[in-house]
Amino acid sequence: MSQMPEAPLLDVRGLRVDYLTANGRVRAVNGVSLAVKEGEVVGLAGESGSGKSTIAHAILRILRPPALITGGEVLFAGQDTLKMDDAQLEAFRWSRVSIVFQSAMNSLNPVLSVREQLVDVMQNHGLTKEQANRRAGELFQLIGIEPRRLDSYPHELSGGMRQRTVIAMALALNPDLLILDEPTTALDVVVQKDILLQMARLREALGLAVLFITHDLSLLVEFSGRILIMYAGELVEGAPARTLFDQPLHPYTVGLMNSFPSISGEKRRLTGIPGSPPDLISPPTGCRFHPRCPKAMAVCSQAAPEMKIVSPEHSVACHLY
Amino acid sequence: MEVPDISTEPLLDVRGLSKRFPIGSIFETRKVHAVEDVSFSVRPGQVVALVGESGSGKTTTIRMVARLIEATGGEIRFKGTDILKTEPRRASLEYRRKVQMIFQDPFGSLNPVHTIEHHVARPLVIHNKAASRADLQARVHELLETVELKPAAEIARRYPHQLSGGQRQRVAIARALAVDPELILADEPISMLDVSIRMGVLNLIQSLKEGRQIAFVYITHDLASARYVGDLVMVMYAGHVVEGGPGEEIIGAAVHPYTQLLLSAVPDPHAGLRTRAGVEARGEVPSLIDPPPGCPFAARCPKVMPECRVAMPGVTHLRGEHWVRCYLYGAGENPSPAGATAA
Repeated sequence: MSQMPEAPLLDVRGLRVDYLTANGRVRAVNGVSLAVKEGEVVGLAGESGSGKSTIAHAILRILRPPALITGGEVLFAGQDTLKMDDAQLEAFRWSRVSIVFQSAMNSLNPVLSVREQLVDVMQNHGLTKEQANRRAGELFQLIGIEPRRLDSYPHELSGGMRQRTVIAMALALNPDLLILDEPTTALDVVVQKDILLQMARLREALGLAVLFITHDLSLLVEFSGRILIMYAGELVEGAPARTLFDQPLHPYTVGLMNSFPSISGEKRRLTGIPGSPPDLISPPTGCRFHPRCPKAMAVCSQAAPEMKIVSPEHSVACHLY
Repeated sequence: MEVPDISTEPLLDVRGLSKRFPIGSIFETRKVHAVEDVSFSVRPGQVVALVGESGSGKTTTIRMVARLIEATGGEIRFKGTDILKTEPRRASLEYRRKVQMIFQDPFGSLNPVHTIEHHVARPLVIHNKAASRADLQARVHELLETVELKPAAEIARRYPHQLSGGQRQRVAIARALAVDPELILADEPISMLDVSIRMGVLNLIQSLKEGRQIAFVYITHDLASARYVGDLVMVMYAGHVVEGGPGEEIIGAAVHPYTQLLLSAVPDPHAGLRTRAGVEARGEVPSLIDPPPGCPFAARCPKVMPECRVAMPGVTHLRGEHWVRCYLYGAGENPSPAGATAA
């Protein structure tokens, strides 16, 4: 893609991930390249099954069989994580890159206080008990919960507070990159807004880079710098958030924009996108979106479009351009 | 908008509906006040959207209307008769025919071992809607076509796992339509669907309302979709309906501090840099177990006054059909029954 003056923090090149199922090989991620610069917030949007979470798991090498990375490179600060051994991975995960999963709040251990769980993570990564305890207090302050709540058990905290606790855990070792995989999908909008505003402030204060994965495009327009759109395992468009919102180019992106009713502006009829996302065991030939595309041409069913740079920061994979 | 020629009598008129779930042991008498004093009405061919966060009581409210759970107080008037009085033990077959429900999870609401044809034919058989086998099949196909599942004959032969979430939700709608309902209760029908296919289902609701004069109670946590399909929007908080009115009015001129808070939290890329009136309400939804008297939002409300902690205000009518329950606009009519202050 576009030439950057310095090497990006995270540079994923031609990543391919397959799931081996009884019905055949499912190519969940098909040659995806993306980069996140230091301190940047990149939004990755797509519907369920588009492969966005699989990418996150591949970056951290936490995919489990039947998922298999079958190609590409994941360069983090110049190092290929796909070639790391277990010891290197141990040092890499959590200290350099951490992740907050969807409904991670339910992954807290119910029989341990949240302090014990936070301290445990930090002790595992070399902090002393005193250091870890002090850091736990700092983290709670950072994430907007009174430090006295550290001694609570998960069931004594609301869903929003539990999710904040998990975010605190992810920040414990000062990572360079935080991956948020649908971090607020299970929460109510008021709590969601609260957490995201806090994350935005934190990110600025800590100079953290964020890869924000969600199906909710309207959230990304507000909270990320650049947005990448995925469809059926492939990237179809990438642009600065505002540009993507004002001038979406790929018919799928246009369709997605047409799928969210708004609370402001004229009330207009929205059509969504006809049909359903494809079965990845036998994906459509050519462009994977062509069976649902209102602008499909003859070439679309024959050849897969290449990612083209249409302006310095805007690229799209579509035969129209 | 008034429906011409059909009487403007409400089809469904819910008054002071309440539900308290007992919890704990027999020696304790603690109760979860899930729904308190909820009133609203739905006219034929009207979509009423009930909006609220999780735990606000919206699902409990329509489950009472569907007679899936028993109300602990209030009236459910359907075409003028209080069905809780006339059919106290269980709903009549007639009521269950006229009032249908669609659930959130289209994966859980269809039986995996039966074909789509079986699912849609079943209500037709139960309610004696088909004269013969051939007639039954013709009706199933017609229903599938109504919900835009084509080719109908092929879809009818499939099993639920062979359909996408959106298609399954359409099957659920076809099944509800089979018995010519007058009211469909839709509980978050799109929240589990892929974003690109949600609008299709909302547009289907719209066309059924317009084409067949079917009324809907549409439950959602998403104000934007409530505005999109709802003729009227009601906002629920901690078991109470706090504000109601035409969708545009609620979105554009909300007066209740909670509605304003909710609006300020909805992601809105269309607003650009314009920020909504800042609402500084902290904290989270209160516990519903034996709550203190007064307005449930009092603990978080930036404009709270002493009277807010004494009793829930009544209904104050504003412009047109817009109303609110908040002391900022007066004590309102019909102050809530003893229920709100007993405890």
